[in-house]
Amino acid sequence: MSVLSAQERQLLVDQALALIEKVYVHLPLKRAMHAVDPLQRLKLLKHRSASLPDGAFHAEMTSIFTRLRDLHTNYILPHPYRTRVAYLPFRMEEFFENEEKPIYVISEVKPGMEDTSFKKGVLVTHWNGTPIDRAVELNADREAGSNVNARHARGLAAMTLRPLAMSLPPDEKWVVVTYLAGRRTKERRFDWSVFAPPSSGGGHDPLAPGDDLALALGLDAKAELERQARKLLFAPEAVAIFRHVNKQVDPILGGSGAEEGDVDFTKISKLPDEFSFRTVSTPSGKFGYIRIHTFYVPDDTAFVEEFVRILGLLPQNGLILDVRGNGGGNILAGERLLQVLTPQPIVPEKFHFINSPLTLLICQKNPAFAAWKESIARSIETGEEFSNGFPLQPIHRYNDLGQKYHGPVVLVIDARCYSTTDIFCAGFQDHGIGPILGTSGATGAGGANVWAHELLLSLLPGEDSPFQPLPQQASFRVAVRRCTRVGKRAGDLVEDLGVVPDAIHRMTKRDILKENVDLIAHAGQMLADMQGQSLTAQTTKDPSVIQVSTQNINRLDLYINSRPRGSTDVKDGTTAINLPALQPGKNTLELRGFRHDQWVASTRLQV
Amino acid sequence: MSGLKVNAKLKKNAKAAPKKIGRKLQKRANISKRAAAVDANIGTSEPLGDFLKATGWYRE
Repeated sequence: MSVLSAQERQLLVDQALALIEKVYVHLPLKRAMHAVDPLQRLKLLKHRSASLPDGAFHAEMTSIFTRLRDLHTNYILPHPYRTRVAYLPFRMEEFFENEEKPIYVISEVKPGMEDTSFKKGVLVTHWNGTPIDRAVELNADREAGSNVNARHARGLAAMTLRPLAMSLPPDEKWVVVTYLAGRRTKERRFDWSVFAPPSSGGGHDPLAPGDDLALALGLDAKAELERQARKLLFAPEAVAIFRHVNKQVDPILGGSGAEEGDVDFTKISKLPDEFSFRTVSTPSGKFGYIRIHTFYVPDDTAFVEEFVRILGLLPQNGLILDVRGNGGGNILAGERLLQVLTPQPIVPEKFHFINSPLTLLICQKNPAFAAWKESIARSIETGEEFSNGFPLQPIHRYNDLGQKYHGPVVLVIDARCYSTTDIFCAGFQDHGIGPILGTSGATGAGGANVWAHELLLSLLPGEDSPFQPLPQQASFRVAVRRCTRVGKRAGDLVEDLGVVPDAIHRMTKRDILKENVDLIAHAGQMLADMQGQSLTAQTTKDPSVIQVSTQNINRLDLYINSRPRGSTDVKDGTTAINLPALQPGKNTLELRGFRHDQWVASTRLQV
Repeated sequence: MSGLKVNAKLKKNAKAAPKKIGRKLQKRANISKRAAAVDANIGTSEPLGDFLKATGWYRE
């Protein structure tokens, strides 16, 4: 293991300066909101770096990036830190009783590390002698979360788990945890350990997105690393399922790619690292429940198709969609998913570059960014700070499938939702899909498309490029295109503000220890208060007639190949609709269902 | 409690005891199976202090 040479350190600092000064889209916002001066700190570090021990250099670089309060914009430490995760053999979470002050509870213990008193459910009171509230607060200040909620959530996670690629290692080699076992106060010492998570547990390397993903990346890489490490440490069953499913559905691994085999895909997702689902019984009735663990998938179409398949397996009277802890991933996966939950056409978020000679050069040299070129070039005259905004893909890609689920939907969020998940939550709210239930006051507030240094290097190659290869697998990630919201909140930033839920649920001890039972009951109650509807259509033997089943809908408008072709009043039950003469070949029929002139459902049919 | 009832309870407990021990052993076996699975999943772990010392993070 080698330490960085003085030249290597200079190169790293120079590259960081180029990134932050010339392409980092949030620099004006972060300067205003968090009163930071990363450029001056980098210049000072460049001046002093030769005399620093290796750890102090990495610590200062990490601190400069962390203080930007932007989980997208990171310094990635070189080998061997890049691949290592430091951990304690347990997980700690928080819950609330009557007061606002959180209570900290052990929610997972690494198998084999439990003893008769230290186990899931014990309450933590002190951390190395510091009252636990204060210890979490101190840790939160070292983390990069954009708002107070996010920093607290990240600080709590980092108490027991730290990917060393982006986190400072703990100063202490061990911690002494004081906890309540029943009425007795006890203490136990735990050593910090380090391991290199193998990829076989599921999930793609968040620090090495493939070519398909690189331009549509919206990910808190550290959260994804933590999620993958946590799965390996505490959920051997989930790892086994992932391997089993992969073997069954992946022809390369020996599976047939078909559904035959011993995995029951009516209970387990074909993308088990991304989705889990079940029918939940609540005091308000039975509903569907889907947890989206990550949007970090290379193939957004396969992701959306699997979501639609799962929707078909669940009750149609209401859906609880839980995205807590989801650090994002593929922005297209998040934004394209919205269409299947609403009849409204999806208007994707708009993405903007910061205006600089370098972002102009990137857009001039790469046709993929041609749309942004003109407004950046014009900024020399207009003085605009940001480019015009455009979606990442043509609008039709966000609306190619249409609505697939007609029941009411409640979205469950927390402060660890980030980036693509923030964008998904914003889209959910901006399109009025349903209410949002939060276990904290806002999402993590990451609103940007993030690019790796390697991507910038490939977009601007050559010796005269401002970007140069980095030593020893060190790297950077930087928010390059910021996004703005649509609908009623058009133009609002997601970054630093996040998505504010419509209702708050404070996590209970039962939630932590018994699979979110109170949270699900709360969401179920919200669903029961909402009005649902159903709309299905099918062809008949007579090609000029279709049969439509409706509930809670009193008008149907018919569109053929996007042209309006008729409207009819309907009652609950089945209605036969006569079609006008169709063009030869394939025709796409769309039925739009209205209740009291409000568009509430839509379905499509190929004829 | 009458003598008859006490005897019946003792008999019941005596019958239940092997089951209880069996369950405990089963539980212990499950725990060690999960622990072995996790150890296999994560591979080699090393103490943080040793790792940082080897990388030259700080001088001790």
